[in-house]
Amino acid sequence: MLTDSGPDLVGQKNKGFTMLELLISSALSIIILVIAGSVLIAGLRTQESSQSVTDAANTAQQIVRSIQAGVKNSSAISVTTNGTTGAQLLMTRTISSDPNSTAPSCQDWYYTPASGGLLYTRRTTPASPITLPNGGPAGIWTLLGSGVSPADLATGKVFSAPSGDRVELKFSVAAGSHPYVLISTMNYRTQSTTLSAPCF
Amino acid sequence: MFLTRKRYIEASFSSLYSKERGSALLGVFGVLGVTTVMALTVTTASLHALGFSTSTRAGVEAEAAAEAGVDFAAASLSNSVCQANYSSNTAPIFSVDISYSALQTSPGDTDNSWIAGCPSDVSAKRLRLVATGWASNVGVAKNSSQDVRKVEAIYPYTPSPPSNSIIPSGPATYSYAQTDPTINNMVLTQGGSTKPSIVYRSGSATCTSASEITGDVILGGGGLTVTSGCTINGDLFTSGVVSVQSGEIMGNVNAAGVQGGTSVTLATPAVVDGSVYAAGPVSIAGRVGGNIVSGPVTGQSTFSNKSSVGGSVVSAGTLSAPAGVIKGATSINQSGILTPAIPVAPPWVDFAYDPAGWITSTGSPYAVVTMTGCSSSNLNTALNTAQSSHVPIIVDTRICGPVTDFSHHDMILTSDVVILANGFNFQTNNIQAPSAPDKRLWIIIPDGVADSAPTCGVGSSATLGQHVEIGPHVNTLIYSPCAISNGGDHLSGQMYASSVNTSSEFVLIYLPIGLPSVNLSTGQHLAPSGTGVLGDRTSIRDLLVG
Repeated sequence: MLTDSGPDLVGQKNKGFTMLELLISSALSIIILVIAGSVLIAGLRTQESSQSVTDAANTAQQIVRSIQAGVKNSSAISVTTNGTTGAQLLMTRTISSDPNSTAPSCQDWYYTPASGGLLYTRRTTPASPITLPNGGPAGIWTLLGSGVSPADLATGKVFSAPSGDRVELKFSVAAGSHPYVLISTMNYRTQSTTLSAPCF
Repeated sequence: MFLTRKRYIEASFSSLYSKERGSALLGVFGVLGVTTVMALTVTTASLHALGFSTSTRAGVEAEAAAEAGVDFAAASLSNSVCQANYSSNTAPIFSVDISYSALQTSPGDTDNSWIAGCPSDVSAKRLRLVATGWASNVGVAKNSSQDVRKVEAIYPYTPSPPSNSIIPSGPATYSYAQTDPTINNMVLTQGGSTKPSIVYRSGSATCTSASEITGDVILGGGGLTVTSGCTINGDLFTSGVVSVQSGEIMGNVNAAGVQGGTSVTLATPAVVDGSVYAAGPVSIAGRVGGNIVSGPVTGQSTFSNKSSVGGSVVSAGTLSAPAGVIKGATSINQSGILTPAIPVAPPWVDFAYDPAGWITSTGSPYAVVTMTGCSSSNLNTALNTAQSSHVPIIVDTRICGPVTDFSHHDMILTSDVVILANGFNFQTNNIQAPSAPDKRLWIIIPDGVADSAPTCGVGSSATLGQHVEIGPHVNTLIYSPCAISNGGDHLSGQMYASSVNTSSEFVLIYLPIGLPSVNLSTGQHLAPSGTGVLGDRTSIRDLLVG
């Protein structure tokens, strides 16, 4: 029997929750958790998306910068392709960017479809030939990016040098589950003399 | 009872509000922390990407600015005096430094022959342009590595000679406006390594009486008639029509004119050893060794039964009934035939007298003798001074009025001599030098009116009369804005005049002499010192910045 004994009796002696209170508080908590969880999941997805796309874009730009710098100062360009594996080697004989020297170097870029598509570069100074690695990069190669694949599915090539004076780049870089970053550009060599020895 | 129940519930909630606040706050902090971490991650990634992208953009802009600097400097060097630095403070922002080398090619991978600044003399063989370009929009978030680019370009370089240099230039005979077409009994031969030519800027010519012309004949504003066995041992270019009655042209005939329905006429026994390129129909009764191309003007070309063509005939029009011999194929009604191209006859060069322009190869000025009176003894004294001078000397006889009479004055030169006059009359003169090296003699009527046309003074004239022998060992340039009446015997050198007619037997041995500060072959004054000609770029490369 409840008696009208005043507020002190409730506040000091009956400290448990009633079923109704528990139900109400649980319902409120669940609503809050669902809302917060949704926000967190959306945020995590945005973070992952942003990270993937920016990483892919940075990788693509890094590859283009590397090839652009090498091709610009080159005196000869050539591309070899392994018809079986789809691996490609972009070869250049390039002259130094040292203001006091025009010593030549060989600089190559190696693309392999293995492991999701990898692109490496290597430079030999003094100039010495660089060959297409069998099965994977041999020696000292620097990885420029991963997730690289040919954008031109008809040719299946990342590099092509149709005239020996320019390099056409058509590749994409994977950005996780998001649309890939596409690169389609052309780089010209500016050296007027054509000299490929001893690089190729 | 109901009142009691209500108070109980109020009391319960009051207790909850006042003492159980921690769990909600903790949840808020948790969510806040997670979202903060995510926001920071996304912001960092975005900033990094933005920095990378803007850096790429900056690199493209800086590279383009540097290449624009190279092009700007190259263009400036081609048409103005060299500057040690070219720069632009507005987009594209660049600065280009010039250096030069006296070596034709690089000695190897390391080339230490570059000297900063513009070429100081004519020894420069290559020019190097190092352009620094700055991006107009720099990379953000401390991505400044691509904000500046350097490009090096190397060009072959031919410095212009000093403006007071005397360049051997000009044809054997140049006429600005030929008034008397006669070329009679003239023998033109090649005295040096340069092939002679006769150039008329306007006016026609008639080559007669067994004249023998070694070299090309270019008539920029007229036609040519060849009679009496005149021989031209070279190509003929005319803007008018060509009529060869009995002579021989050993090269090609190029006629851009059509008159009376005919462009080129060859009578029997006229001979053209080369080909005939005519703007319109031809009339052939002589022999052509090569082909005949006539067009684009249409009409009927005729071939007499005495004609002979060693090659084929191509015509924009038709041919008369077959006659004579055409060894090759014939094509008529052909389209696409172009009017024969005639070389440009250079404009007249106004050459005023400036003693400062006459400088020896060692930089010394020519000595000057200015006559103060014009008696026969005054002239004798002046010419004696000239012929005995061991340094190049100028004799100014212009005090003698419209015409200075040099008749019967012989000279034996010991140095180069310049004779100035308002007009001249040479009769019975023998001017020579005792031995090699040959001396140069300029006979000049100055043209001080800068109108690109000859200006002959009132009453002035230019006459080379009979028995005038200049040479051996003296090579002469006669510069005359007055028409030259030439009855001389022998001259080694060249004539540059408003008009030159040759009336009697005359031998001209062509040796180009030239005038200070001008190129008579192009009709242009020489470029000022400090300029030059850039060749095709031999190298361009990016340089490290730093």
